[in-house]
Parts: sequence; structure tokens; C-alpha cells
Amino acid sequence: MANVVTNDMSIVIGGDAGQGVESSGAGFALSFARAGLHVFGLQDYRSRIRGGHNFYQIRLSEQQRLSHSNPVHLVLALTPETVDLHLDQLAEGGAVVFPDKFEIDPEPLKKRGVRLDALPLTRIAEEHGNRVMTNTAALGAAAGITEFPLTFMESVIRDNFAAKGEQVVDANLRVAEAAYKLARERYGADFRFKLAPVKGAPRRLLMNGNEALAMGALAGGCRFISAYPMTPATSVIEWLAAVPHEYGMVTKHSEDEIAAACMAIGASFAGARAMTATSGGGFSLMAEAMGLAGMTEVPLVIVEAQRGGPSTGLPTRTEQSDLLFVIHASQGEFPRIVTAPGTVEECFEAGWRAFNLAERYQCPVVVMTDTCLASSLRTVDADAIDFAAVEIDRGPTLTYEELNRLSDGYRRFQLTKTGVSPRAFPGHPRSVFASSSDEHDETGHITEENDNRRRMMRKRMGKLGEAEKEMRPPSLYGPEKADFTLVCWGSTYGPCKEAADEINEAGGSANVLQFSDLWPVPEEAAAAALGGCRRTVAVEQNYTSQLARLLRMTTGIQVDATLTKYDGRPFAPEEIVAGLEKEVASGHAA
Amino acid sequence: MVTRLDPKLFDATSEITWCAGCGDFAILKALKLALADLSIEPHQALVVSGIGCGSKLPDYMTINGYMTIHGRPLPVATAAKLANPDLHVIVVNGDGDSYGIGGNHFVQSCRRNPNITQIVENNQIYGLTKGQYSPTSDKGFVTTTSPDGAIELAFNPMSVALAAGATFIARAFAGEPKHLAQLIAEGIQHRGYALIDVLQPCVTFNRVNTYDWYRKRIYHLEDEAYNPADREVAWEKAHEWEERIPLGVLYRVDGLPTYEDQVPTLADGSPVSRIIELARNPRPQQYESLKDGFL
Amino acid sequence: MDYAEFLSEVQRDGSFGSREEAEALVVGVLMAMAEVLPTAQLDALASQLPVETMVYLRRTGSQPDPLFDSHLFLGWVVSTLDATGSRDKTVGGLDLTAAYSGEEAIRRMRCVFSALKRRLGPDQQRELVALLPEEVDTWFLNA
Repeated sequence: MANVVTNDMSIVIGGDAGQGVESSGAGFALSFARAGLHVFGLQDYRSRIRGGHNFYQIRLSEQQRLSHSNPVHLVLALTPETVDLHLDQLAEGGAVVFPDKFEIDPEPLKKRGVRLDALPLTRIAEEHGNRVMTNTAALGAAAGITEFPLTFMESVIRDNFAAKGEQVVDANLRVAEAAYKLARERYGADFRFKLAPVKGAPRRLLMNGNEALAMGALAGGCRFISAYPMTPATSVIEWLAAVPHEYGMVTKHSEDEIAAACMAIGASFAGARAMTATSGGGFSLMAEAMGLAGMTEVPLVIVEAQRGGPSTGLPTRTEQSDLLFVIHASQGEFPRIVTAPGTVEECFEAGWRAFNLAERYQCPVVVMTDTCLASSLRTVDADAIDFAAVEIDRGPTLTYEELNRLSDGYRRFQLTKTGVSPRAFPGHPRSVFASSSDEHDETGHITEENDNRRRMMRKRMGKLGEAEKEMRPPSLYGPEKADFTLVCWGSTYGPCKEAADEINEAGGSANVLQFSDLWPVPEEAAAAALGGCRRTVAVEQNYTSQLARLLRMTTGIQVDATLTKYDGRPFAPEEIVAGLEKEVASGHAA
Repeated sequence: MVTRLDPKLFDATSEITWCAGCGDFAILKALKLALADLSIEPHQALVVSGIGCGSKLPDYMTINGYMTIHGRPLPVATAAKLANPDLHVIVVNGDGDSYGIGGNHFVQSCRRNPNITQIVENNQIYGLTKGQYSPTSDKGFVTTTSPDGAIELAFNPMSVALAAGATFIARAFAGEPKHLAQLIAEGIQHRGYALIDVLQPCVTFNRVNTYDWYRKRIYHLEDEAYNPADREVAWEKAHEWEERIPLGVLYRVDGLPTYEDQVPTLADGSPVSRIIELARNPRPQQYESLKDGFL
Repeated sequence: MDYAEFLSEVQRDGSFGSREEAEALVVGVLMAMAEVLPTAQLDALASQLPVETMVYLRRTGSQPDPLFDSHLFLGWVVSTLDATGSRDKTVGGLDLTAAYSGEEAIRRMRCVFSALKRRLGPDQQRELVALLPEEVDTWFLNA
């Protein structure tokens, strides 16, 4: 057999919606994580409950991977359609596993050097359990073909189906075992791609960006979330609603996004750390509330998990096209902070850091992610989620002791050098105060007087200048000097990093400049970083290269080229590499 | 009504911008009196309003006040109460703010039963924007946006609240401030969502529904041996309008759990008390077990 | 004495354009008084005034509201003011002269109070002043 490749492959499980592709894909990914492998699990599904092609793509490696990758080595097809749809991704020496009752034309596969591994999957499922377990059979077969010990899959089956009772667990185990044995016997010996447990691997969590963000928020003291379900942000409130009651997390599934935002503002006004989570369409509804928070200087954390737009767009697909909207949303001018984590670990940190920023500057803070980062599963070192490193900093929020010492009338919007006023909440006798969305004076009472208006505008906007001082400069990955710099933000960091690694390994020269704090733009640092690059290519999942525009608007610097993708599918590293090659050849990237 | 605190505690020096003769003066006075009577001090209460003439009410009081955006005081107030259940939370807004743009939150609040009180300044017109018709304007009401007379049926807050499950529904008249103050106090004391719809003449822009117009129609349910626990009779009364308008508590049910009562995570603290504690003592170890779900 | 005479006095005093305007005002003031005065005083007042006013000086049953103040009193009177104004093309809605309605209402109210005082003895006037809400009593006194 041609050279065996161990622990470096991608598997796709594909089928119709309703066949359990997501849950079995996630379960499968977990078995590999438990075996010490690094996993990157990407979902692809449509906005429907039944029908239409769904797939789960799992990348396995002994190294940390921040992106999926497109040569796929094993396709588990639960429908005949799956074979056609993923044909082009299959690498030479790869295989397609499918129920033997499907009629698949072997020619196109043979041409690509891909095997057709038919197995009586449905029959095995029906014999040992029931037809619904066809996907379990497919996964068992996959383990067999790659000669990966079944025990890891078995442990996941036990955990996942425990709630359904022992009979269901046993049935699934029997199905998996039968399929495993048959597949290994028939096809295992001459399949080049193998998977084996990694000895001595540290404890790793398999989690997605939403879960990490929610966990970070909880650790940061958030105890109120109001939200309206919207893909791909829904799992933020769902995860927080499921944590044990002892934490005291109050969750409210509100009647709409306007209520969600207003509730978070109300809770924050009363003194809680409060947040909401939504996607672009929901954020559109929250625009007015953003202004309320900004004008009345109430800390507010909003998670905006972007998806394909405009309007209903591609509800289950990824994009990063809301950047300029989020930065400018709502009428008038007021300070806000916008930050975009690029990895699951960065999501955890953004979760708690957002609250510190919101309370230090008493303004809205928007944490931007996207479908890819929010829902792709990745193995993260358990130690990288470090609760001891979480800081809770409430800024100039007055403690009870400080309130007790207040002498003359408390002024909620007291003018200060930084523009940030000492903050009290309703409840203490010394700090009875008013807040108004109308223009107001230091006491919070309504006034349209022009001198006061000028002072208040300067006060509020001055906070932006203060916040800029602590906005992080873009971070550089790779060699300090390179021929190409991939400029990116959000989840695009993952495939950019992989692309740069590939380019450098192949003898080329590339590095990655990742922006995370996006508003206020740390202008000096941004200009210096961009200025030090030879050739910059902005890699973004949107049509208009919004980060590039933002950088030009603030620093005056225009990137040399742009590489855009707006088909709702996440960048694969190969696409970026190819895009760069085109750029070199023609001066246009994409 | 024996006043326990001095209502003047709630007075403020801000210039009141309401027109001479506006019914809001009576509502402001009645609210101060109700709070004083219940011995609720300014720092123990939070008045949340929307946008409109009447929504400026918190600006004219010494009390914790939050003048928010049009139609949205209810979600703000509901969450403030969840975050700190010790606050007495009162929503004050107009008929347009509550029954028009805020209609969704109004209906949801009726079935949600948060322990807050809502006073609606119902003048059947949009005053601040100078005289357009409102959700409670009668059909045929002529204004600049209804030059041929309002086409829709008037919104009926009494019947909508009853249908949506509200546990305390009352109606008052600004021309009877003492009765109004009593109803406000009852509403605040009621455990659950309390709606007090206040018929309140807009003397500048509404030349139809004047003090006299209301005076000719209103009558008191208390004077008729009325049982506010009877839902069927309440439904009938809720539809009385053209010739007779009932005032008083239309419907009430006591003893039902409030929304907050049923939130298990409020049992041992509130979002406000918890962050105060966590800021002092973060105890990061408490979260380690959450990792188990990802292994 | 004559109801018509009563109305002409008020009309002259206030320089109103029509008798109807004067009448609307008189009715408004009388109804406002019906909100604050006990039945006994209302009856006494009615006996001193033209018989046509009796219907307005009537209150249905209940005691006067002790919280009824000058704001509410004014409200009854402002409603009778003829609204002059037109469409506000710039911000929308109607531009009515609400700025002066308070002052104008007080001015007009005083015309009615003067006409009333001319028909009431000093004792009755004193009684009224004692029962009228704060500020309204001053308006009456200075009429």
C-alpha cells in the first residue's frame, strides 16, 4: 500500500436534514477528541428541519487546527446525493462509505482514485437496533476503515444516549460494533488513512465559540441574559439557561429582539451585569436601544453572531458583513466598543472582558462573531480556559461604602476629566437619580440648553478617546517580515493562519495581521502595523471588504489587495493560498 | 387615606412643561400621594417611562427615574425588577406608547405577570407631536393624520388586558385624583402586574374627550356591588364605552405567583446582589465543573 | 335677572367675539365649580344666578374630590377655549396657541368670576373663597 498517513485527514458525514447528521457528527468529533486528537468540526446545514443536504466535516490532526481543510479523505454518504456533492473534495486514495442499496456510478470516483466502500448499513441498523441508527452504523464503519479503536465512540454513545435509556444505548453500541467489524474486515486493510489515539495528550475540551463566550460571560459575573432565538446565536442563551441554578443566572427568552435589548439595558441600569445575543437581523432591531444605552451611559454587552445577509439571507451560513453597520448603528453619535475574537479561546476572554469594558466606559460593547466561529467545534486545551485569569473590574461603579460617604446631591452624569462619571444604581438613599434619553444635564434631568449640550457631547465622546488607549493593537502571526501579509478579523483568522503556514512551509513568505479590537480603532498601532508590511491583502468574508474600508477611513492607509468570499461557506486555507497566487499573477486576488 | 410620608419628598424643582389644565398634573400628584401613603421612599422606587408628554413625569419628581425610548418602558422595567426585586417598579407612559408602538410588550406583560405597576396616561391622542390620532382614539376621530376620521376601531385596553391574563386591571379618571391615588396605591400593593388606565384629557389637542365628556359618562363600579373577581362580568364591563364608562378595579385575581416568584435562579440572590459579591470574591473554582460537559 | 344679560356682561368684559364663546366659558367655569363645591354651596350659588345655570351647577352624588386643584380647575376652562391655529408644516401636527392658554384661561375665568361676584353678597363670596382650591381662590378674589 502506498504511504500510510496517520492522524491527518478529514471526514465528511453527509445526508438529508432529519437524518441526524449534526448530532452524530458532533458525537463522532468528540470520540476523536477523547482519544487525544485535535479536532475541527464544521457544520453545514440549511434553514429547514427536514430534507435538503446537510453535512458535517471533521478535520483530524495531531496539531492544533483552526480551520477545516478541503481535501477530504472519507465521505460517509447517508444519501446518494452526498456522493455527487462531495466528489470534488475527495483526495486520491480516499473512500466513500455508503449503504449498499444505493446505486452509485463508480466511474467518476474511479477517475479520482477514490474507492466505493458499499456496506449494508441500513440492514445492520435495522437488525441490531432500528433504521434511525443508520448514521451510527456509518460512524462505526468509519472507525473500522480507519482502524480507530471503537472504545472512544462507545464512550460517546453511552453519554449521548444515556437519557434515552439502556435499551437505546445498547442498540446503538451493537450497531456500531457490527458496522465497525464488517468495515474493518472488508476495507480496513488497504485504506491509507489511519486514525490512532495520541498517548499522553492533555485534557481537551471540544467546544464552539458560543459556548466559550457564554462561559466567559458567566465567569465575568454576568447573571442576566435576555435574548430572542436567532441562528447562530441561540446556543448562547441556551447554554446559560442550562447551567446549574446555584450560579443564579437569570435568563429571559423575550418576545422579540427589541425587548431583549431593552431588558438587558433595564437589568444593567439596575446594577446587574447583563447581556443579549443575536445575529444581524436581531441587531438591526436593537439599533434604537443601542442609542438608549449610549445616551444614558448604561453598560450593555451585545453578542452579534453574524450570518449571511442581507435580510433573511443565508440563515445557517457564515459571513462577516455587519462590521460597518455595528460600528455606526443608531442615530446620532455616542461611544461604543466593538471587538471580534478570532478563536474559541479568544471568545472565552471576550466573554468576560466585554463586561469590564462596558462598565469602565459605561457604553455598549458589541462582541462580533460569525456562524463559523460560533458553531464550529474545536479542541481547546482545558487549561486554556483559565477561570483564575478572569478579572472583574467594574470601573467607577460606586460601592455601598462609597455611596454612604456621598455628601451633596449625587449627579449620575457628573462631568469628569475622562468623561466617565461615578456610577450608582437605584436603591441607595444618597443616590436617587434620573436618566433620560433626551439630552440632559449632570443630574439627568432634561435640558436643551446649548452650553450643556456641548459639554455633554464632549463628555460622552471623550470616553471614546479614553477607550482607544486600551484597545489592543493588531497581532502578528508568523515571520515579522514577509512578502504578503494577510489582514483579517474574526474567524477568518483560522484559515489565514493555516494558509500562511502552508505558504511558509512550501518556501513562500507570508504572515497574518489579525485585528480584534475594531472600534475605536487603535489608529496609531494600526497604522504602524500596516506601514511595516510589504504587501497587504485583506481577507474577508464579505463583498465590500469592510475591514479594509474601516482601516482606510481611520488610518488613511489602503491595503494593496482584497480577497473576498461571500457565498456563505467559510474560507478554506487552500482558497486563500490560491487567491494569493492569483494575486501575484494578475494583481487581483478575487 | 392617612399619609405616612410627606408627599413633598417627591417634589422636584424642574420646570413642568405640560399645558395648563393637563390631566397629567393630577396623575403626578396622585402618584406622589400613593407612594407617600405606602411609605415608599424615593430611593426605593424606580419610575420608568417612554416618550410623550406624560412620559416626562419622572423628570418632575425626586425619585429614581428612567425616561427610555418610545414604546419600550415595559421591558426595561421588567428586567430592572428581575435584576433587583427589592425595587418598587412603576411604568408611566401614554396610550400611544403603551398600546400602539409598545403594544407587543403590553400584551406580553399581561400574561407574564411581573410584579410592577403600569399607569397609562390615556388621552386618546398624540399630544407631544401635536395632535395625531392614537390607538385609543374613537373611530371617526378627526386629526391631521385622520382627516376623514380614524378608520380603525379604538384599542380597548381593558378587554385586551383581560384576554391576555392580567391579574389587576383598573381604570381611573384624572378629574378624580383622590380615587386615582387610591387605585395607584392598590396597584402598587398588588402582587403581580397591575394596569391602571387613566382617562386623562389633553386640553390642547383633544377637543372631543374633554373633562366634561368623561364626566358625563363615568360611573364607579364600587357603587354597584361589583365583584372584580368575576371574569365574565369583567368582560362585559370591559366593553362599556360609548354611553357609560366604568371606573375602578375592573378585574383582579390575588394570590397568583408573580413572574419573579417563578424564576428559580432568583431564590438565593439577584443578578445585582451576585455581581456585587463576585466583584469582591470571584471564587473562580466554582466554574471548573462546567468543563465536564465538554470532555 | 336675565341669563342673556349675564352672558353679555361676560362677553363685554372679556371682549369675546360672540355670545356662544362667552356661554361656553361660563358653562366650563360653572361645571368646574360643580367639581369642587359641596352640594349645599352649589344650591346656594344656583339660587343667586339665572335659572339656566342650574343644570351646570349639579354634581352626581359623590363628595367633591379633596385633591381637585387649580390645575384641574384650569383644565375644565381651557377646554372651552376656541382653538386657533393651523397645521404645522415643519414638524407636523397642529400649531395651537397652547402657550397662552393658561394665562388666557385665567383671564377669561376672571370675567366669569366678576360677573358672579356682582350677584353674590360678601358673606357668600367669603364662603366660596374658603372652599375653592388654592390659587383658584386668589383668582376669584382678584377678579
